[in-house]
Amino acid sequence: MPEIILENVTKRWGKFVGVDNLNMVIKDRGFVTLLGPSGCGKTTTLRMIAGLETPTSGRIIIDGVTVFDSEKGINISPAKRNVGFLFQNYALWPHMTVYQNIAFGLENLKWKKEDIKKRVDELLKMLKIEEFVARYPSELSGGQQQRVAIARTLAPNPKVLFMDEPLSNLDAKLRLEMRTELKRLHNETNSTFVYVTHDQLEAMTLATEVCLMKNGILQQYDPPLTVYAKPNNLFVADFVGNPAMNFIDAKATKREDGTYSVIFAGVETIFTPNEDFELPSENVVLGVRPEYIEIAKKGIKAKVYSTLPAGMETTVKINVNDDILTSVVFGIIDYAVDEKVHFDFKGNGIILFDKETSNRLVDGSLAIAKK
Amino acid sequence: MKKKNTLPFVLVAMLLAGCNGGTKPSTSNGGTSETKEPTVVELAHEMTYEQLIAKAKEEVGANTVKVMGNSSQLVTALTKFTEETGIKVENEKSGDAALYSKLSAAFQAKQYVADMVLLQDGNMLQSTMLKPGYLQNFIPKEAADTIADDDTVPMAAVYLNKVFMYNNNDASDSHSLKKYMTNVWQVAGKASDKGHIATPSFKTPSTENVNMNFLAMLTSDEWVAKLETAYEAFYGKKYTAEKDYPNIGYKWIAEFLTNSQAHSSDGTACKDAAKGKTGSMALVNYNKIKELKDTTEGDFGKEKVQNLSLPAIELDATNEKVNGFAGFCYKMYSMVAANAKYPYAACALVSYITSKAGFENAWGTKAGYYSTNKTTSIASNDKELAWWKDRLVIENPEIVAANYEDVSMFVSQYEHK
Amino acid sequence: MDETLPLNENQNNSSNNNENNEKKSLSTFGKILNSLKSYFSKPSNIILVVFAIILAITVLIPLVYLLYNTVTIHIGEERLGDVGALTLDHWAKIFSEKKFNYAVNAFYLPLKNSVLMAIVACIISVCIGGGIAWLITRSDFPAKKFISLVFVFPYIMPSWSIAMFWENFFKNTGLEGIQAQMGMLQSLTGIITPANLVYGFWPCAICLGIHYAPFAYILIGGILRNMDANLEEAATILKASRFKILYRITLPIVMPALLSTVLLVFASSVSSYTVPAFLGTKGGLITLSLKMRQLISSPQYKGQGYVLATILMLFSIIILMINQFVTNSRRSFTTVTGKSSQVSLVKLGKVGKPVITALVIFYAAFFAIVPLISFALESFLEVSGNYSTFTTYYWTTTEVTNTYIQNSVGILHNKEIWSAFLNSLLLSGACALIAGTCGILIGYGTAKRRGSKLANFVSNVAFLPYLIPAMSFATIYLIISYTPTFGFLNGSLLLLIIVGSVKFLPFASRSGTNAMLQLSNEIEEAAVIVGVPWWKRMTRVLFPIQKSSFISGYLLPFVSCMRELTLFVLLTGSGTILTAVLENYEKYDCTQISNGINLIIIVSVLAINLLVNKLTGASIDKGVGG
Repeated sequence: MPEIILENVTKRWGKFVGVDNLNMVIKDRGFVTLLGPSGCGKTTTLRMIAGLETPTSGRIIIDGVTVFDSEKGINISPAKRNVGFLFQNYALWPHMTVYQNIAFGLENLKWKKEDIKKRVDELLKMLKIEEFVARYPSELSGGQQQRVAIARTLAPNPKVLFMDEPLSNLDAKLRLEMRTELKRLHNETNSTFVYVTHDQLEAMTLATEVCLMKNGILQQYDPPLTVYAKPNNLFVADFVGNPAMNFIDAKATKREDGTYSVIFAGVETIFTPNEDFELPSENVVLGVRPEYIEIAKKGIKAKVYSTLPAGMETTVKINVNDDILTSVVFGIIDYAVDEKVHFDFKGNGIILFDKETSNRLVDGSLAIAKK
Repeated sequence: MKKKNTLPFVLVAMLLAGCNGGTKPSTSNGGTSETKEPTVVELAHEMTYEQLIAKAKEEVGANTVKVMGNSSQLVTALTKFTEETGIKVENEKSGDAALYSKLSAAFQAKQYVADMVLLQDGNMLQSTMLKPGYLQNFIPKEAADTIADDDTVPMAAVYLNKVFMYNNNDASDSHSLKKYMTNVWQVAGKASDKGHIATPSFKTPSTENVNMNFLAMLTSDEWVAKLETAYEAFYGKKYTAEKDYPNIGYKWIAEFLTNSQAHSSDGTACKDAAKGKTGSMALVNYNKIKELKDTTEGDFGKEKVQNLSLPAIELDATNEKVNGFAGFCYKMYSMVAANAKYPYAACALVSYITSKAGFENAWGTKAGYYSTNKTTSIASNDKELAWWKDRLVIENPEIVAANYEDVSMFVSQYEHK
Repeated sequence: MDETLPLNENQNNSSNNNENNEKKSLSTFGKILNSLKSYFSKPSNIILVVFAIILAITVLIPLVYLLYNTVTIHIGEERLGDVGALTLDHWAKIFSEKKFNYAVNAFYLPLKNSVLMAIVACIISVCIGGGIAWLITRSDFPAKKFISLVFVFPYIMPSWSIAMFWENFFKNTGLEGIQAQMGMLQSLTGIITPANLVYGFWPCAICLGIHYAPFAYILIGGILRNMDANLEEAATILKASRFKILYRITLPIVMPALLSTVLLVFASSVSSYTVPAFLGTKGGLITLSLKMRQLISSPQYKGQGYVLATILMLFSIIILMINQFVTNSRRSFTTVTGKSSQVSLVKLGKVGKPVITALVIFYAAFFAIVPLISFALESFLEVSGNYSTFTTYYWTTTEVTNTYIQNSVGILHNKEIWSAFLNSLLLSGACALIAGTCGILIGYGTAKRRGSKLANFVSNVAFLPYLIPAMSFATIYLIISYTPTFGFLNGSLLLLIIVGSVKFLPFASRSGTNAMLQLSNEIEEAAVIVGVPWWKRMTRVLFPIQKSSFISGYLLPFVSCMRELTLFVLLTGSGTILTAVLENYEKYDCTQISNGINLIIIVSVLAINLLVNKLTGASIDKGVGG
């Protein structure tokens, strides 16, 4: 069954490195999102797997078949890789009707006319675009065009489906709708999906695995919740999650009992790691997800900087000795600006990063030191 | 210009369209002055050159006389004219077709455009300039003694000629092809004819009007007779009318065009003939040959150019002529615009250009250009105009204009290969 | 001040009242006035209306005049009736005269020749130009820069210079009569080319095809450059073969450009005079353009000549209409302009790449560089083709080189040549400026009001001047310049500039429209919101963004003007512009100087193209395609 393996895949344009030594295994029937800021090499990676771009070096294996190997000089054309590709701008052929667009791939597979019609009708129904069958792409709205593009891509039942930011041109509501549809589609079609996006929420909600990239280098390749809870480094931690994680510069020293004394903004806390680790230097960054900061009666003193109630939860920005921290509180609370509050840390998901390498050291819990 | 009687004519035209109907005899040229006072050209005709210049000076004053012509040499003549008389002259030079377009546009709009013009192409001159009366014919008083009568109406200033010539492949005078062409039917007729000369080169009449005019002349009575004589001499029997050809002129045209090949420039054709195969023949401007013989050095310099023989001149050594003709002449006509601002000056210019001095100042040194003025000297190694006239087909504007309609239609059958 | 102020107020009040009253009493008139006001508050509407009027005057009047000439009796045609009266004889005769089989020989055969020749030229130019465009935009073809520079040479060179090169190359001693001359191919290889490949139909069609191939390259390349490569990639992934992608996806999408090419090449080839006059007649090929010129310049059949001119034009108009139909249908091609971020280049393959590269470079060298060098050399050779006679005499001498031409001194000292060169530069520059600017404005108007009748009218009529044969176009302006009202135009440079600008407007309007279509409305709207006046939006926002394709729109009219003769020669004296001087030197067989002048034209055009390219990034090959 289709499993995609990337080994040491590198793409260079002159001196510019697009993708650097990428290693990755995409599991059968997985829904992998390639996530990262623009220009990070995610689209290039996708196009290389699909065969639209030729890697500078490395090896790509799809479903046990080596489709690219720079050493052996293998480079199988995209047509023979049995993949589907959904383009960011849909790439619908302007001179063909919706029907012709969808049927084109099937014609190439030499399907019988009636089979093509049956399949196209099925897809039109599935994607709710039956009424546009005779229209030309220029006569459709963005959402309709996108559904036609999906239908066209799905028509030959590809076992691997590549999507390049397919939802980025849609409005927020439609995007949400289409996300649900895509997830259902993934289940229905039994295919492997590889999905490029720069929207972390999309990545988190859709994927079985997220591949986070930056400047052509793989940062983390894990299930979404792992990426969220145990980000490999500050970049990943910052990119994933909304509102973003709090980063607090701190000094850590090991204590005799195996805990650590962590001092920031004039406050001393005690960090209890969940496992043993080596502290390379005293300069660390504390990573605290907003939901782990609790506004409480007691604790560290702070001033409310601003309050952003969203109904279900409220984001509270607090000022601790001129450091702004973000906290998320369930329910509606409204604080006055500059109101004095106290806060505390909760849970054991607080992360310690090495300031120098920005890599994650350990996670654990944090408590205010008693004086 | 004639008045339009539009509506009834449309109906007539629509009814008669396609059946060659609606032809009306048109009024001929020059019937304008009967009881009127004499025109300037008539008055000027009575004056001597000196009187004319005096009158012109008075008329022009410090202004400038405008001349239009297509000949490069004209400028030289005009410069000399200004030097001698002090009358300022400005020349606008254009190609032939452009010249006629400009003149017709201006004359039809009743605009002044030039005082004197120097034009070639007898058909155009006759049909579009003389017939509507846009140009006037002026005959200088002196012409009575110096210019042949048939060159004075319309007033021709300069003759040019195109002659048959061929490659004799021999630099010496005693080449093997002596008397290669003695009869004009050698370049027409059929390949099986004795002495037939294949593929003579000729600038296609579609792109060269004077060549078409030459063909039109061949259908006139004079040349029909000469062609018949030549025919009899060549084939040893009298020409009997054929239904495809209105007369023997048409027959010669048809066979010549079928036999000939086209070239795009007489100058290049001349060089090509000099370099080409023995016996290859071309009908080109004589001045191109002379130019080649006079000036070219090197590869096809002196020796090679000796390869060219002219039947007309060659046969003269034994007092023979090419039976029929050895080529043709066309002319540059000098005319006075009917709406000239300075008609006397225009007449003076015509007078000057047709004078010995005027011609020699401009064309005198060049072979292949001949003044109608008998007193002018000719270039060395060239023959006198009268000699050429005796051997070549001479363009006659009235005959050309009358025959052009049919001949140009007829010719279109033989342009396609 | 104190006294006058209330007075003013009173006046204002009363005038306001008046206005109100008028509004009430003339409400319908007011409505019309207001709707007119709002209509003309949009600059695009003003532009379209102004150009609709200007084009109607400058294009439709000549057109109507041309048609009128086909039904009127001219001087010299008195056999048909009174001069100036109407007649259908010209049409009837040319279509159906049986005498001497005239209709067949003067019309149907030349028509067949012209149409076939133009079709073959179209096929050749589309295949070669389109092929090169594809290689350069879509494949890993090396030497792209070199080819894209050199490939436009054959268009910059006059078409007959390619014809002349063709003759010099292929002529051989196997031909008959004086045509039997040793050519380059024969002297190098001994190969004797068959006569029908040296002169006649095929050489004409091929030379025209080669001359106009850069058109195809420019137009199709422009679309390919802007065409989203994803469209082709999507088909690749759906397992379409390379041929099928070309046939089902690429070709239909570049169809408008293809048809524009076909239109331009067809119109140009069908009315080309110099190439058939040079190569055609020698092989017994008579085209409609040759016949047209012969008839128009013969007094007895002038009317028939105008009929042929009209028919030549009709063919092109039919293609224009097909073009219109294809581009205006529902299958809008506007999505073509979507930017594709990453274009993957088609690999030509291990064998294909060197073979194709060699072929293309050979082609470019053969038809672009060698003719250019041969021009350059010929101007230095005493005897044409003989390289031992090398001399700089014809460039440097102060002696008269040809006794027929006054002051025909060496090119470098020849005042006539250089002043004509300056005139030509001035004329071409002015025409390019006017045509280019009008092209941008028309582009703006038609892009903003796309699909409206007025926009269609303007963009179509702007194309017509190219389809009217240059000779009749010039004749009509000549006649206009002799009317009392427009007498001031006669013989003036202004007339040449007007004629040149109008004639070459189609190039500019095409590139202007394409460039404008690529700009999204938001760009201009962003400036509208902050109250930037219209002309400032044009000069500060729109122009800078599409600078390179706009400037390219100036270059094509420039090139065309620089080497145009037929259009201008009627309207000016023979010493005024460089091509007319060239014609004169050619007439008297001064091969060295005429080749030198030709070289000056080509080199100056190339230099200006290069200069503009360096300064602005625009170039001819970016022109019409945008």
